[in-house]
Amino acid sequence: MLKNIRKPFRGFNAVLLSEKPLESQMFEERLSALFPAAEVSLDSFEEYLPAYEHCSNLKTVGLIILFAHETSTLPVNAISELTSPFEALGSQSGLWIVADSEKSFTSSYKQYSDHPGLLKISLVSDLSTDSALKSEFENILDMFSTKQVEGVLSQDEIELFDQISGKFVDISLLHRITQLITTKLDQDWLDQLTVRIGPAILGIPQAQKWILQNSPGAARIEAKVNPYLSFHPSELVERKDSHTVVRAVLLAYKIFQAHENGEGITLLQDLTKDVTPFSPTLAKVLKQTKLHILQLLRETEGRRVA
Amino acid sequence: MSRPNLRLVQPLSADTSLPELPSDNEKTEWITDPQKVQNILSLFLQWPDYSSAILIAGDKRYDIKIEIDTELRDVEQLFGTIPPTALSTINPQNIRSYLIHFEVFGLAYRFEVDQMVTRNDHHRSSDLTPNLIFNVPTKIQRMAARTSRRIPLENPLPVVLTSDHHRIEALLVEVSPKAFRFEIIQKGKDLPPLDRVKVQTEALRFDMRYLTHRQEHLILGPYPDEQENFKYYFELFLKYAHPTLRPRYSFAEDPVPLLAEQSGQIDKYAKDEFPPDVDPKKILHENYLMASQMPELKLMEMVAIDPETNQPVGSSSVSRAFKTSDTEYAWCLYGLNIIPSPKYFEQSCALYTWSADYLSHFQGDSIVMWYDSKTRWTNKLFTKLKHFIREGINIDSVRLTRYSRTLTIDVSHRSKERTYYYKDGVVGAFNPPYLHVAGGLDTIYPDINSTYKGESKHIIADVLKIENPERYTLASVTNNSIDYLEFENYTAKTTIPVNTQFSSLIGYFINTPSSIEHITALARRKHNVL
Repeated sequence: MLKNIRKPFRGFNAVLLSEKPLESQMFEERLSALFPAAEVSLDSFEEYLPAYEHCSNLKTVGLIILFAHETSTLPVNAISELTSPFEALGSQSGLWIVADSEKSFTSSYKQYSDHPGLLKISLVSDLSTDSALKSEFENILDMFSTKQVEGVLSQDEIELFDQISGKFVDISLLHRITQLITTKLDQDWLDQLTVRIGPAILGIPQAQKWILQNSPGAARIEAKVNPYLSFHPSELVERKDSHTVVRAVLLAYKIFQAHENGEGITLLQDLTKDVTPFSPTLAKVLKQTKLHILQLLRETEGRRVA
Repeated sequence: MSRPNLRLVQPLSADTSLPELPSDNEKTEWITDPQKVQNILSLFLQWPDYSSAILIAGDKRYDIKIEIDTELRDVEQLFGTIPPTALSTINPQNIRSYLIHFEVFGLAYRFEVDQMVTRNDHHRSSDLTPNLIFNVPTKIQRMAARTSRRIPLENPLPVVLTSDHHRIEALLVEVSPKAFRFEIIQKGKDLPPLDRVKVQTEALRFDMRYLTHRQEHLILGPYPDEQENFKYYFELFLKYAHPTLRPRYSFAEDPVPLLAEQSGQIDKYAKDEFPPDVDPKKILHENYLMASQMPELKLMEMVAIDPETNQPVGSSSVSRAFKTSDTEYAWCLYGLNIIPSPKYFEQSCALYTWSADYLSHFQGDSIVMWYDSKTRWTNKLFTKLKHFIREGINIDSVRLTRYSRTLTIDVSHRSKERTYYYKDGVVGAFNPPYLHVAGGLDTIYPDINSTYKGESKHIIADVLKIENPERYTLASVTNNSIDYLEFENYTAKTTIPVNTQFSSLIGYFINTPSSIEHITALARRKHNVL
């Protein structure tokens, strides 16, 4: 299966830093071959100062991949300096340490465990195959995205909005429909946040939406969702713009609303009846997940909120 | 049943007919590892401006734009767009004989089409949206890399060709590193049998060898082993292939020593190497003149100019600096002096690319180069090359140590020959000293395929038996686990800020332009420069 994975690299750059000649550059080439979309975001260095200048100039370096050896001496605050321009823009930085031995793994843990951006310490011997490196870097990207999401909206806030929304709609069902429709889509961290918080925002009645204004993260997602509120479901499917995930979240909500009125299955059948391999992305995704959504709608038909 | 395949047009080979279909035994590699297949396709899809594809449907060929649904995380299908008028000739029932041939950064691949859907409502449409869908291939065939370019001349150059009293007026219409194509002006006249042909332009006169002809087109190749003939052939090639480059010998005043100073190379590599009253630039120039008189070196040096000011801004050199056996040589690429400025990025590329063009004539030999891995552009170039080609290329972390000699040295009796040493996996050569500012050409190093790691004292002792009384520089390359080697009468003096050894067979090195194109594209995308 060919993986797309372009969006997770949007909006930030990564620096690979190793004092050992060739190490960071070789690693960069391996990552670039595995993730060609990431290549433009990666830069490797063998000295701290040029890396520092690069980060200061670019201001978008949010992920540091540090190669740790037994002799490594780079202090924690030096790492923080690299990402401080990125953090000044309101984003969260990440640190991935690749240790060359068990000993440097332990010493890195001692040295960097207090670094707020530390995502993981990996052993280089565990990354020797392409598949291992690919899987590990995907994990790192997921962790990095999660950090961005958490930087905007805490888990407590997310749960709170779910609770509030749950008073008005079957938020669990809405989440499940949303998950089915969005799971195949390539997503950046803001898309992930939209998928996570969008259903709750949509479920809260207009009169109660003032609650969202106290949360900049929720307000940001509401602003993304609002322009599509008046769209007919078929427009959401057919429209060609780059906000596919936002439209997918809205589409899930429209299907959910129709289901509330006893028309969910009909709407789903209508939206998927003329889908061809050349149809827009959301139409094809809907067709592929149709059976699962239908099953979900039928299972919950008896407990619709009146 | 043989399957019709497309092969890249080979640069002016001995046959000027349309590209032949490769035979079944042509050396190509099937890539079946899913991860590698994915890497190649992802690279192709990531760089649409630097890639192209052709759909081969029976005896028909169509340019095809291939894309994916970028909104989906998992890609199961590829979307193709061919001219709508061509769609009626596509029969999904016959796809077993359909192939997609694609290129990215000069590397060529192909795969067989498995399952195809055509868009039925699209025949008359002028809409250039996808009209074909096919599955992502599970295996891809890697074709021979594009080894060199053909460059048509916008303004053909009038030449006179002579051979055995026959005189032919012609126009030079196309150049490549391997051959020139001429168009004969007196059409309809039978060509006499040709072998060695003298080519005369307004400024140059040199010999080429007959390769083939077809109708009014005559293909001639160079004599790489004949220094003067090859020099002028290559000079003419450069004029069209790399218009910002000039041979070093063509300058009235040698610009390279000054470039070495301006680019910071003297400061970096030879700051404390010379007494205060000695001008390093003078030494570099004198030794260049001496090296020019050593035919075995086959020294070739290029200078890049700023086309606006016509001033030199960079230089690079190749020479047959080392010998690895009685008949095989290791070339050295060295002395990349470029005035650091983004303005001269294209010149930097040209200063590497020409060496691949030049060395494509010596594919049986190997090449070695030492560089500082902190030089990010060079480092990226070679690691990328290594990553794509994989076999036949070594990049090693090394230590280059320069030695001083404790004996009194009389430089007035300097040898006029280069001394080559090759034995038991150790390669070394000396003279003239400081041909390269870092002393990297007066060096002893382990050969590409050698298992020698510097422990065997007898090898070192053997090296020292070389009669070389007037030497005053010497460097050695060791792996990083060894501080330096010990040489009788020499003292290890400095560790040169060079820490990487690139070595390769030239047959692989000639893919360098592909990596250069890739990192140039990358730099443009990073800096939003189109």
